[in-house]
Amino acid sequence: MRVVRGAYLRRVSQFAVIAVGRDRPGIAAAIAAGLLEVDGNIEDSRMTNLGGHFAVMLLVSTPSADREAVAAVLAPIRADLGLEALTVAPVADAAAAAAPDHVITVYGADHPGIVHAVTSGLAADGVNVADLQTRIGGAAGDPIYMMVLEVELGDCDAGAIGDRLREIAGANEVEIDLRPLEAEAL
Amino acid sequence: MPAREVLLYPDRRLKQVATPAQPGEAERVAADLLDTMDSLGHCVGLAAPQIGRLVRVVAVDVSDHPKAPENNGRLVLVNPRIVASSGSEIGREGCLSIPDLTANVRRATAIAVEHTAGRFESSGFEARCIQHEIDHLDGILFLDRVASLADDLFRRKRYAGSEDRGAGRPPSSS
Repeated sequence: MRVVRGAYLRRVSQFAVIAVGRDRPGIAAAIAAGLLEVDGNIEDSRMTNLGGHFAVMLLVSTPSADREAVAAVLAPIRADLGLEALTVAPVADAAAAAAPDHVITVYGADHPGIVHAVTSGLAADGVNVADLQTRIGGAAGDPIYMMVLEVELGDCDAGAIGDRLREIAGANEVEIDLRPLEAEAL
Repeated sequence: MPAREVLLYPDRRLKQVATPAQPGEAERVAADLLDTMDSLGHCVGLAAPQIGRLVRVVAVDVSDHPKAPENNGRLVLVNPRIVASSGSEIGREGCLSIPDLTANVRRATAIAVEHTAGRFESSGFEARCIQHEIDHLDGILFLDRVASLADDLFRRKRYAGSEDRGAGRPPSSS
């Protein structure tokens, strides 16, 4: 196996690679192998199973390849694995990573509009969402929707944000809680 | 006493604050709690509001659980209060009233509990269960205490700027 070290020190191109496919063993391995062919370095990533579909989000840098070259190595992988979506898009130099300082939990009887109500309320106050995950649980036929967000309040007034979230909770019949994110050295 | 039906969120009774239990009533509710726990088999704790009784009674029994080698046996606590606590750890919790969801929740590692029949100390998994059940008496569900996203160990290292301190430990599961 060829190991390329120090590629990140050179001037590189960055791409967002997004793939979705019906889950099966080998999707992550195949995409990683393809990216290695163009000396791609996976700088940041999130891969997870969304309702039976494996979703891949990658920020990839390469010292030499252009978008077409990255797409070309991934195209046969898409065909082989029967991926439902595959996108390669150039991205500009990344801004600083988000620095979330609060966590918001939302849960309630499942109905359309929960994510929209909460996120649009946050956006209106200029709160940046750093991470958002949802889960469905509860008894069969009576699903409970749960959402956890890590957000960056920055200079926003936590009290005012909390008031707005309480209004949203009441209007949507869900429970919402805003707390400082625990930062802890282990 | 018969086993009772366990209420499921979003039943609003699960979000209400329970009132102090009076003698007589406390014993009846406790018997129902224990019968309901026993009927469920895998249950390590139950609070009166979960069976629709808004009084401050909980039952906890982790004596058969592999994660609780040290425990206080079968506990029935009337009007329990946590009067001292120390330590802090994250563990995975679920709840009979919210099936099929689990989350990482921060709890005190060791607690002292006062109730109408006395005072005792508890730690580890049993202490976690007692804190979870007493929360029910105040209308607090474990989802109200989610500490962070599921990958919190991974992330907390970054927030703390302590990448060189090792991987920490995975959350305990319960």
